Amino acid sequence: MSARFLAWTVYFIAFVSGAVVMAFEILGSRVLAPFFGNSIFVWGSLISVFMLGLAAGYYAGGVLSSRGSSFKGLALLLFAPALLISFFPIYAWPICEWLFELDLGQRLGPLFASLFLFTLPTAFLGTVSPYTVQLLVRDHRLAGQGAGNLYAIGTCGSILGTIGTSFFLILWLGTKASMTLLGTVLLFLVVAAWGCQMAAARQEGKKD
Amino acid sequence: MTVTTTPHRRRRPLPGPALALLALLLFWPVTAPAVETGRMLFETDSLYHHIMVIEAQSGLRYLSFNRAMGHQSAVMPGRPEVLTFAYTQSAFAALAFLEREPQEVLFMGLGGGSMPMYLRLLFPQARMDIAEIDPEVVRVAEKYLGFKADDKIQVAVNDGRLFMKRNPKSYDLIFLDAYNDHAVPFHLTTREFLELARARLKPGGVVASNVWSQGLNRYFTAQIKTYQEVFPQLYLLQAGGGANYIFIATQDARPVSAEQAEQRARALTQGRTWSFDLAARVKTEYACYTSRRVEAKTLTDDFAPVNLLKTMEASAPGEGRP
Repeated sequence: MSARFLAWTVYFIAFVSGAVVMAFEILGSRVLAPFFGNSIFVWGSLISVFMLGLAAGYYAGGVLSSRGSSFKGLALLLFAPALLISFFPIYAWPICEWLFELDLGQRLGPLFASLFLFTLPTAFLGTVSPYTVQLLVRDHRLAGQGAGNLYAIGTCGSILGTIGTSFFLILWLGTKASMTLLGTVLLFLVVAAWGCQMAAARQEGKKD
Repeated sequence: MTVTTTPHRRRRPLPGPALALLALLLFWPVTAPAVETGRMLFETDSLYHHIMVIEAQSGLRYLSFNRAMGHQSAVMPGRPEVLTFAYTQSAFAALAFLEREPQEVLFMGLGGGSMPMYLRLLFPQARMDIAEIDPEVVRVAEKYLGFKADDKIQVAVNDGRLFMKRNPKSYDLIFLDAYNDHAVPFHLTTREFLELARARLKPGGVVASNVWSQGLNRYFTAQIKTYQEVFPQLYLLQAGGGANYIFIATQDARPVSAEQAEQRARALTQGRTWSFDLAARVKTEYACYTSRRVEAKTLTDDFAPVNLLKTMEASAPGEGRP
């Protein structure tokens, strides 16, 4: 397997995880509405919590990559949100119900629900772009270029995730099944990253 | 509702055609005003809407959220007996499906407040709760549209579904009319929501819902199906033959025939001055939908692609187009 193929796999993973982030956000609004309504506070909470998760993820991804990035690490970073989103329908509704009963008010209710439900998966997904820069570029002078490519491709994925979910997925599958689908897609990315790990290891072996 | 999470930067200037298209998209609604019937009295951007109050020559004031989409409400301030819109008149037909005079009433969505003020006039003893999500709409209704809350009219600034979920109070009559410019929020269309509304009805109580549908689409049939599933009886009144349908759903399983409803409307008319003929409305618009078969999927919290379904054609219900 060539280095070029590995690079394209990295871009593919960045694209798909970017799509999953936004699909998750659109579906998130559907999870919150029955408990917290469709108010501006719900959207405000949701969007800011996604930004929080992504910011934390970008930072953590950068820190982790400074210790050296690997496809194995990438697979692990993707495995966490794959599980969290796959099982989302099981724990999200009880958490919303619990927060509804607590009655924290029109603002804090949806804010805390968003914090509990969306921060962690989003943070893991946020690590992907900064973490994979090193897998693409060995020459540090090209690091900026690699980062730029990754963010552009990840954001293009987000466009697809947003449009695809709001225009089609909600119509085809509904909320819970769409969540399960996102989790499954992430599991597929884990497998892809793991495959690259094996391939890269074999390449290293040949060189020696 | 739009979501933007990534600030975007433009690298190259856009080519001419793209700019023209962008300009068209940006200015299209403004250059195509469907209704500019008077002078703009007040205009503001609230959390949810672009609110406009337009005063016509006749003195009628219109509340509008969107220049291209018509008006939310029409009132003559200080004269609550003026009930202009056909759909508000048809909504009052719900009273003909209630066996008693209304004592406790819930309105979901205030708009210009024409319906609560009219109800106030005809049934002064009725106590009303109004759930309105937009605080600015409440202020505008009070300042410009002659709406007044008092000891019998309470306004809660809250999402309607949340208001019902939080308050275990039950009602004789629940009016559902919560729209942003012309779409219903999905969580006010689902089986779970309607089950909540049914649970908030007193025995014999009635839900009257304004459903806006341009012709027959899958959203409309899905809405019929969902109401049928939750309520034992369903009637549809096509208000003035237009795009507004009033869904009247009862808590009681006993059917109300056209004759019974008309008779009841007549009884309600006696001793009160209505500004329109309630019995005639009931007679011309009554259609029982309880057992009409429609090809549609029930809307649920999990599956309610309301806006997407609106664009899809549906096959006609069992007994022809309503």
